[in-house]
Amino acid sequence: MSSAMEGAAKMPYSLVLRRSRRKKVAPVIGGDPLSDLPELIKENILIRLPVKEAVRTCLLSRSWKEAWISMPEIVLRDEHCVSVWTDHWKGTNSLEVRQFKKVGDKVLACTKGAIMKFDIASGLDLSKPMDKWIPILVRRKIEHLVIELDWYEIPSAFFSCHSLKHVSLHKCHVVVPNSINGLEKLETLDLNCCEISMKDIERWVVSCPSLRNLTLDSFVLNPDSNLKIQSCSLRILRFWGCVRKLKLETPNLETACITKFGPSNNVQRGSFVEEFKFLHGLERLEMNHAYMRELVEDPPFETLPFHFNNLKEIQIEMNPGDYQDAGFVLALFHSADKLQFLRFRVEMIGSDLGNADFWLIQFLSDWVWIQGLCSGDNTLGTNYWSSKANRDFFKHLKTVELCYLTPSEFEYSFLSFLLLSAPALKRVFLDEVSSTVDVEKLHRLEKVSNDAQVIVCKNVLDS
Amino acid sequence: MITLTSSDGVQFDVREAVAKESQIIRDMIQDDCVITNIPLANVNHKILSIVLEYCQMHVDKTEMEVNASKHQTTTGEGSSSVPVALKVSSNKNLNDWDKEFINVDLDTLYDLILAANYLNISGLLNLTTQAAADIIKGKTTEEIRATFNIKNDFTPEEEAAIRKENPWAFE
Repeated sequence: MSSAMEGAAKMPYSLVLRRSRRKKVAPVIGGDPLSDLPELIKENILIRLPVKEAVRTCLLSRSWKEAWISMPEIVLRDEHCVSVWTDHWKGTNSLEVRQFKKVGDKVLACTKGAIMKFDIASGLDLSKPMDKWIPILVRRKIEHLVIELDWYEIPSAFFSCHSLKHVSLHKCHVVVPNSINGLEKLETLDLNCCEISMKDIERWVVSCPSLRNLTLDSFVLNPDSNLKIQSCSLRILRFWGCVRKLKLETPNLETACITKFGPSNNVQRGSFVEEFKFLHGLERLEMNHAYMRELVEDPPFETLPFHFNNLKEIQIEMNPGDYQDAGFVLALFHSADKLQFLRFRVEMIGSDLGNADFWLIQFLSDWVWIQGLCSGDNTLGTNYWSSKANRDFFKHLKTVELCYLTPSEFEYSFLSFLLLSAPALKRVFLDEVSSTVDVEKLHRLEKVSNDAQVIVCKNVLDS
Repeated sequence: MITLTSSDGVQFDVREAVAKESQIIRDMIQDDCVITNIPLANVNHKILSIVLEYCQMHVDKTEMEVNASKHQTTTGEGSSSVPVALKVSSNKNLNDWDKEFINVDLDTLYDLILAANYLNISGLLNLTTQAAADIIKGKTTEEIRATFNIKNDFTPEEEAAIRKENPWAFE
């Protein structure tokens, strides 16, 4: 069947690709294919333009005259809505606010049909116009709402918007009405830097039967409150903030990314076993060091009394030279035999943990970490980790990433432990490796997986 | 391997993962798992080869990351767990690659938009419609008409009336 005909018709894929086809954008000759694109595609192009430019396309030709009217998404930004700036832009009725308001009013009045998405971000005081726009959006069956306004107080009308599926509020002030009867379609809720009481978050979450994805970011304002998340639908939780105690009653949670700081003078210790025993379905767990330390039993369990049957990824910060960290991490490895991906950030534990600057750094950025581990009170012998190597730990582990490696014996030993325990290991990425680490030594470490490669992503110079 | 046949009869043998970048092909394979030959009536071989180049590149990059982590971002919302260094460099590379990839003449761009829409490849549809928007952005009405060869079929009176309807947009 290998006729010449067939050979001619079947072009080798790679050859076709090598053909040169690149040309700079040049005017088309004849025809007007842009105008002939299907309406839905035209709308898709229009929503990517600054709002006034999208409206101005009505002047292009008859076929464009009403194209913008059916735009399903409205994005309002200062630079697109305000053309003249004065020194007095801060007031509630400044020229800038009036310009912005006019654009918002007109776009909402002229567009037709459902609005899928409304996305507003501004440094102006737009509370008055927003209070008018929200009921309009509710009527227009808005599904996706993004608000980033300085301390805008979300009106109660918002909570009657039952079409909402995705909500993202940034720097808003939120009071959940007592009579909230649920946003039954809400799937994604993202509260970033919002002022809201813990009680209100709890009530809001409980009232949303479809909530799958919850992000609570930068809650540093309520260090003395407890927060309880109760949701049977929740699959993904991302938390970054400061609360006294975080309680998860989320039996179907699959992803938990928790960066939690307790008030350093008032940490309420918990128990990992108590907090996580019902989170059977967890596939991905990310914990910062402070949270882990808060939950680790003393002395740590050698094994946990339950298994994470689906846990495939762990990201954790630890000091491989510390007794409690080591115990906890080993217990976690025991309970998660499906693990495929591990990421560690090597964390410094020293006597200055409670130091104010240390906390300040944590709050400013969760990517700034103090280097120079294992300087202080390491309680383990240097061969601790190699002696723990066990091929039963990581049957499925393929990838490990270690950040901030320094040339301490603990870390060589810990890496050696991983390499000796993971028969399926493919890659070990070492990121932000101290330049004093003996890379040759790392490459020479014995490993049980023939495929395992140690890859240094980035060397950093010690300052 | 899956054979895709363009509207002008040219066959392309591609890996299933590459073909599955397209939602409609993914659905077809799901409905009929023994399907090996898929005719694509609305895409000619020139455009199909470019589309496949895109799919190939994105599958290769994703597989590199999946090797690094088996995390499934089915929702697209889950924050990815790829090693930071790898992710940053590969995202940067991929963005640069996309930028270079989409630097095509307008006729090709229209065809790519239509093909991405027909094959339902959301990444490529976003990339191509964004490219079209970027060409429009910052241009006057006259400049847009000239660039895209759009014929002004309004009378001057009509044009003035439209401007009057939405004066705020022309401020």
